[in-house]
Amino acid sequence: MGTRRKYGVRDGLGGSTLIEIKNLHKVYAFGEKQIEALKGVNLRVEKGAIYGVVGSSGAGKSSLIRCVNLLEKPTSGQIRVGGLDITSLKGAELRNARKRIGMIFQHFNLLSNKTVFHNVVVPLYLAGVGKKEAAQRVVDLLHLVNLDAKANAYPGQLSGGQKQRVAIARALATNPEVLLCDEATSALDPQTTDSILQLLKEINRTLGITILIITHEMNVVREICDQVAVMEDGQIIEEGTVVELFTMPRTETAKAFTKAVMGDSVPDDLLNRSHAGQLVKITFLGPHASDPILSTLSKRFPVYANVLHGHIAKIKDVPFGILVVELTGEKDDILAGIEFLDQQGMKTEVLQHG
Amino acid sequence: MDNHWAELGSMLLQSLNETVMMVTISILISALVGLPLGIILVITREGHIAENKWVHRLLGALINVLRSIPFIILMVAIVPVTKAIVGTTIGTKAAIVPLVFYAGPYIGRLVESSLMEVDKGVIEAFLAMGASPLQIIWRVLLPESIPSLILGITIATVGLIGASAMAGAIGGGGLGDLAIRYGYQQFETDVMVITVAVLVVLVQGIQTLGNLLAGRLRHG
Repeated sequence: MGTRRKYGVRDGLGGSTLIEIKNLHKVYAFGEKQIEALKGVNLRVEKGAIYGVVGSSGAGKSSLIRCVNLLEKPTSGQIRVGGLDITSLKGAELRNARKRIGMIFQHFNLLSNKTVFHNVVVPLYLAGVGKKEAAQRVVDLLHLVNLDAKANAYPGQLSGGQKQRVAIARALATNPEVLLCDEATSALDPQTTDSILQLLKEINRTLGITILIITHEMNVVREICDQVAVMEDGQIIEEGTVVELFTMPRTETAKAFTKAVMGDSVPDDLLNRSHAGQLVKITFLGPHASDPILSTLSKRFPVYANVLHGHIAKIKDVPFGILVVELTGEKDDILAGIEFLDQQGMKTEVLQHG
Repeated sequence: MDNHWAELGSMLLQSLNETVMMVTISILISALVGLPLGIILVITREGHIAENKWVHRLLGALINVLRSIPFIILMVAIVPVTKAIVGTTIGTKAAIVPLVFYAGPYIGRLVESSLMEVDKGVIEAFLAMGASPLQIIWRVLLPESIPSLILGITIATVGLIGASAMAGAIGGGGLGDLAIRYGYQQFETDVMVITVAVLVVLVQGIQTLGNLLAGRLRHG
């Protein structure tokens, strides 16, 4: 990997915006009481991207995703999908627009009295596809989601992960441009979650379908998203590439979310103890993760590095790590060493001066 | 003695035939009336696919009025309607009209409660794939509640058998009529007992059939 990957914008697909949300407000009225779920949300999702919206429950993310296909009618604001102003649509026009937007849900929402085949074929019938053509398409779709053998099973006979695969096949049946995922893995165990995420990633890669995911699991964002927005109290409080979010979270909420996944917090006893040298936290990313950076440092400068704490994980497919090292040597040499690390594209933070 | 049993047997058979006729025709027409009533009651509810407060309230009130009239009074009260529809006010045909007025709204409520059980999430999934309200009724509400609908129709059928006995009062015939005329009014206890026994078997049979069918169609 010689060049830096530009996140969010996929090669060959250009940088055109597929979903654009402008100043979206949603107010729910319960009798006299009014609850403002969305307070002026702005969002752009590039074509071909996997975009994650993360937040605690009650942050408004569910309202947000449900506004995109107008399952929820916004109080004010505008939503454009593929240039089409969704918010202005009604009746048949809205139904046609919805056929271009697939959606999957936390609880799968399959027809319980119908077979897997029937569940997947229904959207094709709704779109007016002929029986024979539809049947062939279902075979292909079930193959795509790895459920070839389950066409005649009923949802009640399937595991949670298999049900979500059926739901994905159903959502993809009409070749939508966008797939909306409303807490799609929240009812699944970690291993199943992982397999569903791999499937979504594959769909994104092979079909070029744009995916908008809302989740409270940072793990989901780390696994597959390119871009991410952090939501709190009806607003987007932080937005950027996933790498940015993990390496430089700005808000407290984002910090809390990333910490929960990365376990990157430096153990307290490490900070409380006094050290002879300087305690430095180094965050490294991507191609640098495999560089022998500390050896290079020691070779170039009369500085010794002692690793006290470390953690390596992957963000999407890019390795990302955190190291806490104790640097000993002359003060100026240490300073020069840190500067060298910065120049190499590391992010450094001095935790304790020696 | 032999003559007595032969006569009883033929009476029983004729009465059974009348009951089955009355109940079958009534349940078919009642279902045709009750199904749309139940569907409209559900889809016009707040937050459902064709929300309409006024239609919902009006229809609900109408059904409540019809359902609160005791059958024996309903039968007499709608005599002019019966005459207008079937041209006569006595006989098996005439009994069908009040039976439909009785069972139609009842089935409406049963259908309503069945359709209310359908998972809102599934309806939402179909809205999201661009299904129209009619398509949602046809592809989601009805197929998902079929087992429950069958049980509802079974309950209504059993109820109709009971009501059809009362229809004997306007010369509707049937098993109930037989039991009252011979068994009760002429003190022929054996006729009464046998008639009731036939009714028990009939009800048992219908309920068992309903349960079996519903069980077979339920996969959730």
